[in-house]
Amino acid sequence: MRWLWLGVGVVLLGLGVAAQAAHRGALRAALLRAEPDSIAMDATLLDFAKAEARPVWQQHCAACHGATLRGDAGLGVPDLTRPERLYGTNRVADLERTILYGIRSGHPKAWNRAEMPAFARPTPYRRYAVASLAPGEIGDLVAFLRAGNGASADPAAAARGRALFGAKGQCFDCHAVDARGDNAIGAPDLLRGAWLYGRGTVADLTDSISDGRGGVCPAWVAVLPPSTIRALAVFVHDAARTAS
Amino acid sequence: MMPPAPLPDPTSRRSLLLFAAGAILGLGIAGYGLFSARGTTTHHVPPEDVALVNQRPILRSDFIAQTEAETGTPFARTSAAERGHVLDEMIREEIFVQRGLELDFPGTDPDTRTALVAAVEQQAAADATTWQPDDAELQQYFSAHQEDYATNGVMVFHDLLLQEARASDNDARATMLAAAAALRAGASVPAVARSYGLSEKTQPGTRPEQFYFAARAMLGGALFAQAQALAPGDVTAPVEAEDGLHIVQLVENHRPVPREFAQVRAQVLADSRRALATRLQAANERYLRDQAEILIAGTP
Repeated sequence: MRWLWLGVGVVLLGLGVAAQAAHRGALRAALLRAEPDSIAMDATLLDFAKAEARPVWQQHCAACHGATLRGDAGLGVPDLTRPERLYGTNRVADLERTILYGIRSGHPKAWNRAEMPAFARPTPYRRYAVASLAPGEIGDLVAFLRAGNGASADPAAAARGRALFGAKGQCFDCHAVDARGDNAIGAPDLLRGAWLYGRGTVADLTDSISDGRGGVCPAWVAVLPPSTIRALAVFVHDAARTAS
Repeated sequence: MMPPAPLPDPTSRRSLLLFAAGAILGLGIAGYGLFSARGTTTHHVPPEDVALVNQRPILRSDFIAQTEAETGTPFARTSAAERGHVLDEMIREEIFVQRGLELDFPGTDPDTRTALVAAVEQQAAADATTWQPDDAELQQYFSAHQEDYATNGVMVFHDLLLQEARASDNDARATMLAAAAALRAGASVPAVARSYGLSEKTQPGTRPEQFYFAARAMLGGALFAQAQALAPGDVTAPVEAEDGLHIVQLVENHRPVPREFAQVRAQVLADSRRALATRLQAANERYLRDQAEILIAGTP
């Protein structure tokens, strides 16, 4: 009799595990089939996605982006709790694309349209011809950027920097004429008072202009299942939405 | 008295027969599966895909991105007709790509071959992006390449030219030596230029201070090397170039200064990843060459 009850218990446990697995499978399928922008409005899918994403985030993403998603300005890792995005927007579909294919990851579908030239080098840019800048010119650009962000800067140097921005420096080509950036190519807004690298000091800005920048994010398409990538996109979207 | 012969065990014969029957059945099923296999096919589209074309998936997220790119509106606001149109285009592309592979375009089409080479090179380097070195590894790379992280040397100088003059012309050489002496004695550059018929060779709009690499490009290697060794205020010996005789007065010389690791951590990370990517690409090429059977004609 005891063996009979034990068998019944094992069968019930098995059924419970199978039901749970089926339920999770159904939620994963629903997460993938849902329109990305609508997931934030569906509490069940949102909670499921966040629960799925959290351990994966700690395992794969936190090493660069930090456990709290606040990044590392010393290494140019963006603060993902802010709603602005270097590439695309904070919409789930855009985030999913970045996680799938990465940034300069080597995947043919990665974001890889441009990088910041190194203006204090003989050949600043590998994609097309851009003139090097003299030390004083870099100083003028730094003054222009600092003035534009409300920091102290020599007005004459800032005026010269503004002229350089729209001419010899070719900065406008990526960062737009108004320096507000272009998230289609990963060129940050230079007037929003927040910096990807450093904190906007003279040294930080001089380093960025002199030595160039071009961060990377791996492509996860071949590493993580599609439902996990969608869950991560929802997780990041929600982190910025909640913080803002 | 002889012991009776053991009776044959009917169960052992039965198990032998069952074993043989099982083996024959298994071999039969395996043979049928092997010789009549049609590949693994499914009529069910997985949730991550929007369509399967000859079992090749079209990823749902690719479809969403393509729809948004073509319509310029968020996916949620696109119409069923727009989505259908985009999907039809993607299916068409997939069919044509599959046909292209059947026709062996990678073997014949130069553009396809170039794209494939680039994609394989990029893919070989992809692991570098997931590499997350710790500070000790970065420090090690920094120590091994410390000179790459020094500040740029900066120089301010005056380059005075006696046009069309040659070093073999004693009068021209004497003029330049006198001009150099006047500069060393404290005369101003415009005054010396006027007195000795020299021109200051500075490109219009250029700033007085230049990085070393730019100064080297402007002055040429020989003149730059002389100028770099001077003390501020001192002047080089006359040096002949294509356009005439030059002397350079050094005004300021800021030599490269090593920087601390903390200042250049981001750059060290980027550079060490780039170095790893280069190593991975080289290793990948070596592996592919090792694996390939390459026959070269006696006289290529």
